[in-house]
Amino acid sequence: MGDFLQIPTVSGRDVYLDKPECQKGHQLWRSLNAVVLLTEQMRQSEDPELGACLRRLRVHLPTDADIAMIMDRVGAPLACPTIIPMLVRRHNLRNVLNENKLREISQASRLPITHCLATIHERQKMTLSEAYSLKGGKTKLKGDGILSVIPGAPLLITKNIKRPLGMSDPPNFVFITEL
Amino acid sequence: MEFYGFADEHGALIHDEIIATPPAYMLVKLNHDVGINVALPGLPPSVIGIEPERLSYRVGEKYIAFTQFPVTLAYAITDYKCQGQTYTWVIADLKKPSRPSPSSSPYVQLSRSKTRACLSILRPFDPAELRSPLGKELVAELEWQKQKAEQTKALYL
Repeated sequence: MGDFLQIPTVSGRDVYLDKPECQKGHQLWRSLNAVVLLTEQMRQSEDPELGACLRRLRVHLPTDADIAMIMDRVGAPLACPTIIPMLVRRHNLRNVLNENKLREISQASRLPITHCLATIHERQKMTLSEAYSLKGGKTKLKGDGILSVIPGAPLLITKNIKRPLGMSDPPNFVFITEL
Repeated sequence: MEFYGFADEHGALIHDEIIATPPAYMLVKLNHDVGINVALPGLPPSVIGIEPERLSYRVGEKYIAFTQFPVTLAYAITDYKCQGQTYTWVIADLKKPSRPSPSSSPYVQLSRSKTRACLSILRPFDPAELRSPLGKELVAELEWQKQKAEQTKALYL
C-alpha cells in the first residue's frame, strides 16, 4: 500500500488496481471516506531545492533544470566515510557489487573473509554450485548459500526475528524487523 | 546492522575462515534504535546473537531446503529494500535495466538522501525514463485521491 508513485508490490496487487484477484483489497480502498494528502517533504527539509525537484520527479514531470541538477550528481565524489549504501535495480548487480566491495575492504583492512556454508538438507533440479551461489534478500529467498562476511560488514536481515535478552523473568525481547 | 562474529553454543568466537555448517550464533551489532538498550554479558553494547534458521526456496522446478542465518550482505541493496529508509550518504544507480524494472525506481532511490551533497549517481543514465508517462490507472487513482482529499477538507476543516 502506501505511496503508489513509489515501487509497486512484487505481487502486482496494488490496492488501487481493480483486478479480479484482489477485489476485496480494492473495495476496501475505495470505501475510504476521508483522504488527507501529505505534501511536505520532511526528509529533504535541509535542501529545499532537492525537495522541490523530487516532488516533480515523483509524478514524472521534472523540469529541464531538475534533470540538469540530477545529471550533475553522476559520478559526483562524496566527502564521506568509506561504506556508503549503493542502491541498485537488479539482484544480480547487487550481488556483484557486494562481492567486490567485501573483497576490496578485506584487502584494504587486512581482515580475512569468513565463509559460512549453508547446511543443505534437500535439493531438487539444482546443482551444488547453483545452491552455493544463492544470495538471500529476494522475496522468497531468505539466506545465502555461502554467507561471506568480515567484521563491520553491513547486513540486511531477511526475516523478522525476536531474540530474548538475558535471563530475566519475564524475559525482555529485542525485535528486529526486515527493512 | 553489521557483522561482529560467529560464535559457538557457549558464546566463544570462532576464528576459522571457512565454516562448514552454520554455528550456534552469528553476533551482529545493531546500528539502529530497537527501543531498548541492548547490553549482553561479555559482549559490547548493541551486540546480539541470532540463530541459523531452516529456510527453503523454490523457483520453477528447482527447490532447496537449507539452514543458514537469515541475513545477506548489504553494501549494495535493491531499490525495493531501500524504500522508506533514510540514508545520510547514498550512491544511486538509475540506469534502466534491460529487463522490466519499475519506472518509479529513480525517484525512490534519489529521495533516500537528505541533501544533494550526500548523493552520488553510480554511472551515466538516460534521463528519458524520468519523464515516462504514468500508467492510465495510476493517473486515475491520483485524480480519485485528489477529489477525496478536497471533499475531506470541505467536510472536516
